[in-house]
Amino acid sequence: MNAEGHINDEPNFLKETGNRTPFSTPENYFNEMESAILSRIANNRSVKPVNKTQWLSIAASFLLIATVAAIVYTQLKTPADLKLSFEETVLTEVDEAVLAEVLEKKQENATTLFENEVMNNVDEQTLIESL
Amino acid sequence: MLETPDAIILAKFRNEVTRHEAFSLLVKTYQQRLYWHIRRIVIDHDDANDIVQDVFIKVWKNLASFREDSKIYTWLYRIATNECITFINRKKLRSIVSLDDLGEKLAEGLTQSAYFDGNKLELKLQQAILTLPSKQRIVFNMKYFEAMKYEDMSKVLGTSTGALKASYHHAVKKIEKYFKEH
Repeated sequence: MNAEGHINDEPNFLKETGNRTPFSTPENYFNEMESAILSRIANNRSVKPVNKTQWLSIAASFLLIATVAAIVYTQLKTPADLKLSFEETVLTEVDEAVLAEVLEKKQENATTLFENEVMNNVDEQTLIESL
Repeated sequence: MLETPDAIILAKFRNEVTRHEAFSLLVKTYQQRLYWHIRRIVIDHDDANDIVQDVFIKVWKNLASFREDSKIYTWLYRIATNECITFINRKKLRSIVSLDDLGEKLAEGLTQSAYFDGNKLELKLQQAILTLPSKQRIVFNMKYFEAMKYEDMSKVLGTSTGALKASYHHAVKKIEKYFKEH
């Protein structure tokens, strides 16, 4: 395992020491390593090779479920939706004549308010000139 | 042992029928190199044995999705190195002694270990290496014992070759200082 060629470039104290790894292993360690690893894999059922496409399909499924859930949730809960259902209720439940009367009054009130605003805040001369 | 080209191992592994054969080939090809790389970092044989097995199990789980933009060899080294760093950090957290004392403890353990067969100078070198910060230790080991090229080390450690050269230079200086003082 040791590569000794490069050691000539090292300082003297390292040349004297050498680059042999001073460790050993139990007998037959490397002959048995493969079977030890394979038996660990066989014993552990959760240790299965992970297929990239498998992961992608799982992730895509989750994303799809989350998107659908988010769409459904926002569709049901937005104020626009509540406003729409209020308008629908008014149109179906309230008498048309009453509704027309209310809208007319509302318009009249708005016109009166506008006229008052003009009369109170705009200079008379300017008003005459613009007319 | 002659190395089997990465492409052959990968093609066999991706085929359900030849998967075990490919994995066996991979273990046989790289087990010794990986074990010694790990052993030089964690020192203790039992720890190295646990880590090397964990590494190969991770490889079993992820080899099918290996992207081939690097060699299997650098990918394996990256997994092994990360496992060692995680192991050392976990050991630091579990240990009530400081990091320096942890190095000292490992150095003491060397002389008591049944699996240490070095002479006095080799023991002194290992003790000096254990005084280095863990990443500097890894760089020193990879360069000095394995003669790994800086370019390959850069791929394994995700550090520039310039930084690695500087790290190795500092490590040698610190070891030299240790040799003068002991």
